[in-house]
Amino acid sequence: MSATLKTEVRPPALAVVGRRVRTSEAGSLAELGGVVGLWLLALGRVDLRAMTDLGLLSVLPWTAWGAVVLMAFSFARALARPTSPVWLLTTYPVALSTLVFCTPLILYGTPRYSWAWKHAGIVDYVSRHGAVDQHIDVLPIYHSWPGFFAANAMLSDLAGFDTSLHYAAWAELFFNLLALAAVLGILRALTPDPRTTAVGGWLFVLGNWVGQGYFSPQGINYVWYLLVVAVLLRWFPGRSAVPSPPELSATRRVGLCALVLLLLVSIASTHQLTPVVTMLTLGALALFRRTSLLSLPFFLGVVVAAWVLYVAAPFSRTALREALGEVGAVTSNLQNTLIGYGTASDGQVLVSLVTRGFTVAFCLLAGCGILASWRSRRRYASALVLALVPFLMVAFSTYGNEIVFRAYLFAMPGLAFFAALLLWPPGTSAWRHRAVLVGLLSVYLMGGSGIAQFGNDRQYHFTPEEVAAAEYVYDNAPPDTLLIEGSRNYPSQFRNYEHFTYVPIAREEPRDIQRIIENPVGTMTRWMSDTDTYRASYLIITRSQVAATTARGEIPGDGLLAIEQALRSSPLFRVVFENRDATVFTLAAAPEGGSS
Amino acid sequence: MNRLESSATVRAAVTVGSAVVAVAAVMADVGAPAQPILVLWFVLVCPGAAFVGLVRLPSPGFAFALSVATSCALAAVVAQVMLFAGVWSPLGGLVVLAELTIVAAVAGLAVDLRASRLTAAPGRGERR
Repeated sequence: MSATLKTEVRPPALAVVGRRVRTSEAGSLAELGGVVGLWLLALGRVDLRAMTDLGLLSVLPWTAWGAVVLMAFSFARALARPTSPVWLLTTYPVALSTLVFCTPLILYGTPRYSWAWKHAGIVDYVSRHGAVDQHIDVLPIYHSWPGFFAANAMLSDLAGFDTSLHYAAWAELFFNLLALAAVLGILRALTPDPRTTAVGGWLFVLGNWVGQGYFSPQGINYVWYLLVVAVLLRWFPGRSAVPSPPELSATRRVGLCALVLLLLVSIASTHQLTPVVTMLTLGALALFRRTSLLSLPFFLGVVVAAWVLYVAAPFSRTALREALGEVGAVTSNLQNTLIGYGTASDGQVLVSLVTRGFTVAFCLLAGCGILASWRSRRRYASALVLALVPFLMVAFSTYGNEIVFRAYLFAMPGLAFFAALLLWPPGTSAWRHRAVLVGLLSVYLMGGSGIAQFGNDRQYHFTPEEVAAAEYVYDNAPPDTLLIEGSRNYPSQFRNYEHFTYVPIAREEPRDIQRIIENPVGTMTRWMSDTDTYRASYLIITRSQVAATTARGEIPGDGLLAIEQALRSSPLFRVVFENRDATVFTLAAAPEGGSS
Repeated sequence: MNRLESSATVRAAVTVGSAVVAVAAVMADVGAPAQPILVLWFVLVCPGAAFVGLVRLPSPGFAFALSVATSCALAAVVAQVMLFAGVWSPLGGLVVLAELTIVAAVAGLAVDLRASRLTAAPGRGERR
């Protein structure tokens, strides 16, 4: 009887602790619910048409900033609590990534980046032809590494879709969550501390502004790269592995090795850059004995060589010499990556400066983490390989003038780990001051990351009106059509893409652009009257083309708007399609539908 | 049935069932929303889940990510083989993926059943 009374009056200490734990976890989840609510409220009040050169951030209401601060505060609180379970700490980077990459999906509804639409065009080609044409004039490289496009052609056909654009906008969320899961796997292989891992995952989401996780071969190849690295570090570690590898039987290790080989074959056959960085990273890990699978770089090298020299031979014959010319040209490869500020708009310059500053700050944070690990006599050689080796790519190629950003992208897991090491060294118990520091720094990083991630969205997002104009052209034009575009930045090439010869005005030489501006009617009439070469001619100018050329200063003065106005007032041209975001012209002499 | 057998059985049932249902949905051309959901679920998750299930990784979150990535890799490899062999057939590709899934799921089931029987027979284990 007394025992019963005691229990009723003073519950056991363990039960009290358990209830507190559940209460604090519920509190964190409620805070996250509040973040989601505030964010959705903010998105509902966004006026996309009011966006300035600063991108999405210029139209986000205060509730969005409230959500961001609340999330950073909530993460810091969870870090500071000694009872926070691993799953709760991991939930924060996952929630942050979901919030970030759901935003374009909810706001725009259409895929960001014009390249996503071009990729949908290759999928469309494979769907219609059931084959690739390695000698095609436009975008031939994709016909030699067609795995991503072939898989999507198969998938969209089986799903009953007429185009992969039905689901392409989801790719950002899909690939970025997969990448985060892989990075968390890498971080767990590098440190057993759940707080360091959570902070590393959190920093990875904030630092990964490069925007390659969209509907692209790079998106899935990055995931494959990260997973290969995670498997090697966690289940095939070399000497000095920090945490002991989890138990796996010999048979299961063979099975896991077979999966790694499958991923490596997929990497070699679907992308051009990822095999190079994978080979460099695996080679460095093998060289420093950080993995027991020493022969993997050789295996990948053989597969890559076979693909480049045999399967992709038609492309390699023409492009290999040019590619080899870039090897060793570090300075020019670097210079080609960074835009000049001479012609760009003020907003674009600010976005670029903030992005560069943010990237440098993130790398400095990681650099301080490296120094701190050296001072504490912990070498983390595997993480050093991950953070530094990708930058060797700068010596190999410009990769379409974006090699530095790709190198930064591939270095992200290592950089995020060292930055986390600085902010939350492994073994540090839940400490309030350190958690406050993480929270405050996160708010600043969120601001920089937001500008870097969404600062160009005025030109990177496309309205349904622009899509409708492009659909009009791509559905109505016959094969052998000349398509003059203000710039390449609009939803283009996503259907019947091989039917066209593309002439973007913004890519002409500056003196030629000047001639077009001086006499748009005369120049366009001359270009579009070539009936010997083309069966039809169209000219399309859209909102996103104007935004891109204005921001980058590609066409001086009023640019495309002036050209559009001149053509509208000329009797030589006819508007065959228009809405508030796009105009499509043909020559007035051309029959209905644009054929001339 | 112990926990090992139970999870293996559920995984095999889900992956094999999804394979059969996805193939049936495409052949019957059931249309949206069922067909896209069934096809996307199967192609993007199940083949990889069947193969990763053979390895039995201790981390469920990582295992799921690896399953999805492996499914994507298998779809890319199968589609590319059809493309370069000149035998392009999305339904054929789906059937190949379904067959691979069924083989991996059944193999996983057999391996786990054998492992759980060895665990349940300590005498044999001791003699080793």
